[in-house]
Amino acid sequence: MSRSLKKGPYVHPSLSKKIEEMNRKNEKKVVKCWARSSMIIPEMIGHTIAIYNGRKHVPVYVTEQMIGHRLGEFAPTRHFKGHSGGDKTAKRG
Amino acid sequence: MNDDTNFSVGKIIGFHGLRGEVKIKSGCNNLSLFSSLQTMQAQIPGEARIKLQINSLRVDKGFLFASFADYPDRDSAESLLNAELFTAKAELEELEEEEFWVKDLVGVQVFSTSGIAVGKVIDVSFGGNYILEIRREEDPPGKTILIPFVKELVPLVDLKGKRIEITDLPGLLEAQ
Repeated sequence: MSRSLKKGPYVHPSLSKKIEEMNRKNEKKVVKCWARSSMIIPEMIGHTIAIYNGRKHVPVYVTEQMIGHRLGEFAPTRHFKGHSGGDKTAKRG
Repeated sequence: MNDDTNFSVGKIIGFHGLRGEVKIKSGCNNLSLFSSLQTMQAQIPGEARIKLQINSLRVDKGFLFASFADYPDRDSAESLLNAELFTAKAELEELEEEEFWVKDLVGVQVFSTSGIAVGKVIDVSFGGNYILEIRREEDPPGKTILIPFVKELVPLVDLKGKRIEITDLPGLLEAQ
């Protein structure tokens, strides 16, 4: 069963408080976060959130496409490097 | 080994249909780079390298599917099983704007926008964004810094000058 719309998206209260404060002061800094189940809301766009993956905090720059997803989706807890040795590309977002 | 004339396309791991189409598993994450290829070289284990003329090439579900001029049916194509495929890097599609080869980024010196040396790129991984993994000389072995590879945090990538600049965002270097 999905979450009631009446409640709004779940965001951990301390994370929500930090984001609101940064938006109010118009400042940017990296926020450490353990609440992987928190949903990404529009207020977080442009902030960098360091999401804990069980071992370390993975910094993620929040973009518009991430809204509605959970923070944990962007900090994988398992790291598979792959078998093949082909050349990879990386795109600057 | 990959170099400019010996770029690994992948390995033939299977077949599709009866018209000689082979299934290729590639180590490259951007398969659209291969879309304009006309020829490939195949290295069958224990045999000499042969040149293949490509009839068709498509991408499906993370695999490349190709058919070759001298292999019109499945029976003939089966002789290519486990062949490693190579091409010249110049024959690949151009990288998009803001797209880089990971091996070109590895080893590049990283500075903050205020000019302070931070460390060297040792790898690029993928989470929500591409993430630069940076090693500082003073850190203990195994410890790295992760920086999201986005314009807002990495405003300058100068591969010719071997220099990458990252913004001085509070907490970025200490977050891990």
